[in-house]
Amino acid sequence: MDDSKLTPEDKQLAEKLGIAGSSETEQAFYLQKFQEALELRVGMVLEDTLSDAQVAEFETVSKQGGDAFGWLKQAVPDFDAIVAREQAALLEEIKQDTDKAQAILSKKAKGDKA
Amino acid sequence: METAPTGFAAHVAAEQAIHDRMAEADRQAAHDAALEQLRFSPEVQQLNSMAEVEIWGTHGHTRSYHNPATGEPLTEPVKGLVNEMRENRRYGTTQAEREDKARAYEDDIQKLQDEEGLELCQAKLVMDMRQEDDAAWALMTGKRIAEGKDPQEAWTEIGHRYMKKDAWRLKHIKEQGIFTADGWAHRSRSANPGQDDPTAVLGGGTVEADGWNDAFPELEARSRSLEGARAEYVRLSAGRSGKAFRIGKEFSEESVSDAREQYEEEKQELIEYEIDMLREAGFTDDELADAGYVRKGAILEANRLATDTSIQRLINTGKYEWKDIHDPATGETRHRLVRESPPSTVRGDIKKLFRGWWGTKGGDKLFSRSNAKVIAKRAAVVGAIPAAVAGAYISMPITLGVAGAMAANKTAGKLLNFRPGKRDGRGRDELWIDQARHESLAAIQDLERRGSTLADLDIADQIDEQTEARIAGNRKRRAIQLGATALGAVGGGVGGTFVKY
Repeated sequence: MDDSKLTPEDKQLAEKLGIAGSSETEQAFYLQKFQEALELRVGMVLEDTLSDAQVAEFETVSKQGGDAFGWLKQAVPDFDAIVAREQAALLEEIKQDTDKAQAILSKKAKGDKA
Repeated sequence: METAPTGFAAHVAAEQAIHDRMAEADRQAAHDAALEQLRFSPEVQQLNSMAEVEIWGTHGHTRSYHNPATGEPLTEPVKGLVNEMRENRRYGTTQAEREDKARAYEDDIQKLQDEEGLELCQAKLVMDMRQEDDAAWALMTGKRIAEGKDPQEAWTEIGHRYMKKDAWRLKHIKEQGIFTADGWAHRSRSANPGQDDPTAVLGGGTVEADGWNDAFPELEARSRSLEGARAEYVRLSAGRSGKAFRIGKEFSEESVSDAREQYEEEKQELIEYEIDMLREAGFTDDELADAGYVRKGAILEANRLATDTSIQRLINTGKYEWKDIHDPATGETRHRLVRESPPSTVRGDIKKLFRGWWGTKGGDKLFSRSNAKVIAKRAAVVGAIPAAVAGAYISMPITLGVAGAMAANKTAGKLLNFRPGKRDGRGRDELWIDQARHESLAAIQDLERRGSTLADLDIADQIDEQTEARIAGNRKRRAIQLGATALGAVGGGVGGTFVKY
């Protein structure tokens, strides 16, 4: 039986981030950090997309306990695309930083051998 | 300029290299053999027996149990750490929490044996050291916060170092055959510890600084430098985007591009420094790559950049104002960024807004953690919040107690002139918003998950215990309070990730 605390989606994302080899607690921590970054990035795009009036309406729907998510999906038709794009961009930025670090490692390793 | 040897010199150099490699192989083989022999020695088996009793106790009786050190029969049953965890409220306010901690401890012990090939006594040693780390981690975080450091940053950065330290220490314990705390202390005092004689590490002594901390000041300085470059890049880039688009030379594309370049350079330099540091600590390049430190560092940096950018954009709207607000409940004045119109209702709003979204029981199932699109949906809802209700959670109380460092009527416009990188104690305010956000979100997550209140978290008690003897007077009280605020929220928000006991 798989008693993992991570969902299959978590594990998939951990693979993409290259942290699947770490302990579950560590993975959970870094997945959380990734998720926070994604939330903010998507939030900033949505903020630009919605008008002030729409934001006010969203706030009202939220505060009245309405279907905030449904409202948002309707107000931002390409919502899924925005999320997918931001997630891909974030993964790419992390990959680029990782690649840079790997390049530094390779350079130092070569320097050691020379 | 030094050149590569040629002719006879090249031949001598090649001979020497072969000789060195053979000598090294011989030395390693001898070391491994001695280590293997030591693992099966009566001394280590005795240490394993001691560790077993310390961890699992004597199951309520003394029959057939002897003190491994003296050989004398035990006169009193030993409860054992795992049973203590299940029973002592210090390890959790509910039975389920305590059971979780006990199970996690046992799992970690097993994992260290199965995956790292450690003896039971070595696994216990590692766990003991992790427990000390957790206490020191909490203490250091509390101290840093008391000194004005952003709680979230302090928690993450110090935690990252301790994780690195744990991996570094584990490597030495395993490779050098260290089985006891005294053995580790001996290794710490030695310039070339345990390299040639694994048995030497069983000697006596007390724990001393292992040299790791020596690297902190430089690392800290470099992190600060990166922070400054990031802040400047964020300030300029956020000024060119969003609804509060700013024009003028300062916010030109060229300025943003230059700032981005500077930020990337600083980031690269920090990565390079960290790699050097870890290599000096004995990590091979393969190990560094496998451990994923660079990937994890990249994730944290992406998080910081997104957070800082979001905050800067919020400040750019000009709808927020810093205020010193007196909290009659604690008697302290707190510095908060509040939205003036309409006034935010703070905590009540947050609970209302977030309840059910992260809940695993009841609430909106669309936002349950098991939902495949959970990230997207959370992103949607939380993402709209910066413009809609950010004021509510941004003005959550942050017990930082540094109100005196700020004037009472700072505006968002004035804040744009601050540079966190300068560390003058004032620019930090921008980062505190980050803390408020994380604290609020994490607190709600925690509340939802536990169906309980933050007051139930036992972290504050743990910090209190660990710092009791070390910090005097008001400073102690404040550090404990600050540490508890940060750790309670942040630790809870990541599922208690780093609080293992």
